[in-house]
Amino acid sequence: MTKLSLKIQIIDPETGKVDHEQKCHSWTFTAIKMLCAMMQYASYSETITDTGGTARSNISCNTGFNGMWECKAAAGTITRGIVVGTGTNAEAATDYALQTPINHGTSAGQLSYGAVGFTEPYKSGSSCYAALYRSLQNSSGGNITVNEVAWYGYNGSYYFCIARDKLSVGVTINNGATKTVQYVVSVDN
Amino acid sequence: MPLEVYLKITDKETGKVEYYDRSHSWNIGMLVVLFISYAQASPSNQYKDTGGTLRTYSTPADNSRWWGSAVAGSGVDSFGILVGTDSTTEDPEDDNLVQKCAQGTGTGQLQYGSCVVGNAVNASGTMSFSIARQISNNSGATITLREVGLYLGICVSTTQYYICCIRDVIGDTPVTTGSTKIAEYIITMVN
Repeated sequence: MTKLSLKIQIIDPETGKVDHEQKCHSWTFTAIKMLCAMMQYASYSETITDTGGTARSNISCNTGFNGMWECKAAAGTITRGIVVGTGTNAEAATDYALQTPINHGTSAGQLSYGAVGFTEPYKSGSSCYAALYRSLQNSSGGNITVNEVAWYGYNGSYYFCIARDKLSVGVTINNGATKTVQYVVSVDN
Repeated sequence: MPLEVYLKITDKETGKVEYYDRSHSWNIGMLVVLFISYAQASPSNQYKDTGGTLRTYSTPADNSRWWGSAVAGSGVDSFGILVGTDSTTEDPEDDNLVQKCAQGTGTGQLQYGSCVVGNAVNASGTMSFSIARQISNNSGATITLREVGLYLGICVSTTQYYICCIRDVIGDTPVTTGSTKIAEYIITMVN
């Protein structure tokens, strides 16, 4: 049996300790539609809903130039990459955005998002892995509890939610602290 | 909710399903195709193309070039679903079929139809799409299939390469001369 799986880790960058880890429940329908469109080498003929809730048609996912699930985000950019929120609704494959995103900044309820980093594909045992990660710094003056994590991708025109998960346990980032959120993509054989 | 792959082989004439099982091996190639696309970066590591050559991959030169295509035309045996006769056990670093059947009507050759990728379908909360290809034997003798793979086409800058993203070893599946099989990979989101 082979699976293309996703796992979330929340790590304390100072100690390297994994504070939270869980298997993801939700690649979204958007993710599989975009994967399908990539292999079709065509614009996807059915609508795909972007992170703003707008149904988009003729979505191009077929050129590596623009990317598919592209999540290379600079520090402070939260339209793509790993993004987090405080919403507690259970995830669903039909999700197209976080329930309650946490904005970038240092005001109350905000987090400072670092740039998205990547780990290249590698083999370990009978599985292969790749990863993307992002630091979240809390300089808001109060503690913030993260309850949901998402992967927002960009196709050159619009932003799409590739995965969204409600954390099984909320993870609190204390004022002055930094956590790293990591998605591990794997093929498990 | 992982993405799983199923492999089905059907006899075109009778409609009989001759093989149906979970695929055993997404390969590292699939992660490479996804990684370059989502990271928009060139990995520092090299990975083999289907010719067995280590390559440094990066994104295409412009948006007119393909990435991750499976839609090989009729008679094309460089990508799409392809079959072979070797039974060496799968490894996630497989970079090609061990003994691929080439396109043609000569001894040991098969004729590949167009590789067709259907739209994703949502059936009771499970979404899936299929990649299918007809394979005809007009070689004059039976050919026994033992391996099936999916190669995707990518364009690094302006040069096309092919990456083996799935390879499966199957039980002996004879294709008699004059007959046609349909090989189909079904990629599905499992709840």
